[in-house]
Amino acid sequence: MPAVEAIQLTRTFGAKVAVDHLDLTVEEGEFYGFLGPNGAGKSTTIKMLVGLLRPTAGQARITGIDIWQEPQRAKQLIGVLPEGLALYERLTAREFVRFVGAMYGLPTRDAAQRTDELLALMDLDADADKLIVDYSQGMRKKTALAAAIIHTPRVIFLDEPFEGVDAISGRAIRNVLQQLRLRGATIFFSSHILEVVERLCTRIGVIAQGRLVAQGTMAELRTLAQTGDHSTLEDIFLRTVGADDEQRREGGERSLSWLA
Amino acid sequence: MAGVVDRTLTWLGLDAARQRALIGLRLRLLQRQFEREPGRMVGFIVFLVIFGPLVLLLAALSAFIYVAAPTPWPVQALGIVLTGLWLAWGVLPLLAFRTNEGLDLARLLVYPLSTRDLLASALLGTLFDGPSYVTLPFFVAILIGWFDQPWLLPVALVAILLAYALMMVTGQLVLTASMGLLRSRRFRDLSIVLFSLLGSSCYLINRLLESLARATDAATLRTLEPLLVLRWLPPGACAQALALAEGGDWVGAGLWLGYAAAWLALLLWAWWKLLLRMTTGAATWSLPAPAATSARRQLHTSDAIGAIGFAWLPAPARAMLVKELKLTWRVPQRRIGLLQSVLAPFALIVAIFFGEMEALSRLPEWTAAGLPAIMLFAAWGLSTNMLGMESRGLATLLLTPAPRQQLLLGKGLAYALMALAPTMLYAAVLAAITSSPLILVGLLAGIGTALVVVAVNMVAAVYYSYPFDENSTVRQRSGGGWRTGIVQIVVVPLAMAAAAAPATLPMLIGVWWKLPLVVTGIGTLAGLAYATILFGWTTHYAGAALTAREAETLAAASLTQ
Repeated sequence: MPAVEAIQLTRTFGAKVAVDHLDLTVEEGEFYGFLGPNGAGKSTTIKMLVGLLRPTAGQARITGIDIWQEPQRAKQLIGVLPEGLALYERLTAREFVRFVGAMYGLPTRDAAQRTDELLALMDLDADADKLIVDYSQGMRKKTALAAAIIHTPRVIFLDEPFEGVDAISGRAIRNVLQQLRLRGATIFFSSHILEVVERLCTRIGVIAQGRLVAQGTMAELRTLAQTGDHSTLEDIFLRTVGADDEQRREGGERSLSWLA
Repeated sequence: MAGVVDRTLTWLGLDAARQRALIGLRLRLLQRQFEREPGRMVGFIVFLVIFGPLVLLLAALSAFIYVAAPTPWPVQALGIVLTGLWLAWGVLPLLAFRTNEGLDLARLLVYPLSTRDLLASALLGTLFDGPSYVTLPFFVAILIGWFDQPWLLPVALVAILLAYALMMVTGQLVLTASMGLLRSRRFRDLSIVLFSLLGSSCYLINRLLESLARATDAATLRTLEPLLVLRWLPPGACAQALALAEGGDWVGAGLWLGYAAAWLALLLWAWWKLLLRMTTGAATWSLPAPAATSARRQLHTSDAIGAIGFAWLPAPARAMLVKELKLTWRVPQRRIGLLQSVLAPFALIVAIFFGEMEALSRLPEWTAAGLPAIMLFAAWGLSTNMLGMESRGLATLLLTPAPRQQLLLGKGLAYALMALAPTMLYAAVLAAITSSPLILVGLLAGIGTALVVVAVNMVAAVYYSYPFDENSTVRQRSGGGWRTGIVQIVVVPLAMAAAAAPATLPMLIGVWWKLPLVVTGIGTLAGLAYATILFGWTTHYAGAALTAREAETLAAASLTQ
């Protein structure tokens, strides 16, 4: 049974179609990278998949459970690092992660123990009793990630986990994600940092203008995009979303007349 | 016309094209504010309706004094008016009222604009600030006051222009300085709470001023000449100049205007230097961070909640209750509600002591009848927009599978507890002093009222939440559409009054008709039972409703990124 399924998932905002009849499947244990240009519909898709934004049409399923029909059952299985992080900024990291643990039904003692371990792993233990509002962006992201995984979710959604994070925090997050995957978790994440996606993901989906325009492993994507055996994800991405074609049509790289 | 303006700007050494662009930007941003936040327009209209007549009345009164009062009162009054306006513009930014909504100069510093252009654009931009128009009737009143002496008009006009510029520059200076202070979160939190409480203590301040006024006799008032002191302040100097010109001392008038102009130059210089200092990152007057709270102490909070009788709550509800208690204290805008619920009983005491002495003999009756009202306002203030108050955390909360009924139960109990705790203490002390069990009956009715109020707000929060930014530098952010505004302002209070009536009326009827205590007590207990059942039922109803429409509630409460 797929870990994540989007079936004809659609979301409109007035006349604008943000996500257009999206069909997508992620198998259990996969590390799925979800790419797309700005405004392509990545965050909207993730919000619909995790139950934060109601789809205009279509279905979103987590391990076969429709998240809009049985939200509580589905939400028990997922962990989410949402866009904007959604933290209680006037709690300390320790209080916040424990609180989220309680919300997932963990016994108080277990929640406390897991919190301490997670914060130590994220190198946040020294600042664990400071208010989140006084944290840097990287510290906030690590706190949000700790909260997202405290209940050992089967599927983890991460919206731009590496945005605004320094190299040290980035490595810590990558290590945690790898460990989770080794334990059998499915990871669905969106990112603009193509090198990280290329290095981590087992399969990649590319969305443009609300539609899934390509999906597969790196090798499959190279074949699909006809970019050659040694092409990078950036080459594939530019070709897939049509940025290359646009440039060719316009006669090469875009330039400024007054810089010529 | 544009050509004339451009030539004038160029004559003043300003870049006309850049000034046009900056004013255009200011106008566009103003328009967008009203387009994107319809609530601002409603707020503006409400402001006009409520304060407009008051401002006009005060301006008319000042004009009457200028025209009709005997010498030296016209110029004394002028000094008071100008200094009052100047002080208001200096103090209001500290009270979290934005008198200037101009462009953020810090953002403009990256462009190659001259200091003169930047400062001029900031000052010209004040012409588009709504609060600036509050000053207009007062300036018109000055012109009316000295209209019969046309030879004084040039001095009056220069004085008005200087007074206006002084007000605006001072407002900008204070705003810039407070921005620096507000960069320190702890100071910002403290100032929001202190100034809001100061504002809500108007009743007490009013009482104090009344007693001071009673102590000052008319003879003392007649000998006062405030301008002797006020003239040394910048706007007072403008009034002093007019006073001297009226007496034919043109040189003296010029000197006082020069003194005011020197103040303006000094304030402009200080503002500019401060702005540069703030935006180049040197100054943040932050307080040292307090020592981190120990994990052991946090564990105690959770244990304490269990110990005070909430161990029966399911874990998510208990965690919610603990979190709510912490955040109500830590988020300054929410702390205000808590502190007001602590202060409200004292306001009741003051009301009784400053009132008729015979009221003191009926202290138990007054207290019993007042307790439901105190609990109503305390619970209302604390629990309004309870889901929106989750701020950025609401998404996290709704991502968890915790039963929504339990979340609302934890929140609701937290608000009832916070409304109850200070009032209960106060009621217990008064009951012990007066040995009157009637106060305890009033407390029971108050508990019922608090439960009903929280229940009504629970339902309102599911359907009519609005955004709340806990990191905002002002007390509360307006938000939500007009429908939400009407529901929160009109429908919710009416629903509260109707739903709270069965919980309160038995006690009030008993007190009013002096029914036997047993009868009043039984009636009040029945009212409390009703309130408890209503609270329980509403928790389930609102929980189910939230489960069904949490995406919509989240969208309504989401802050615009």
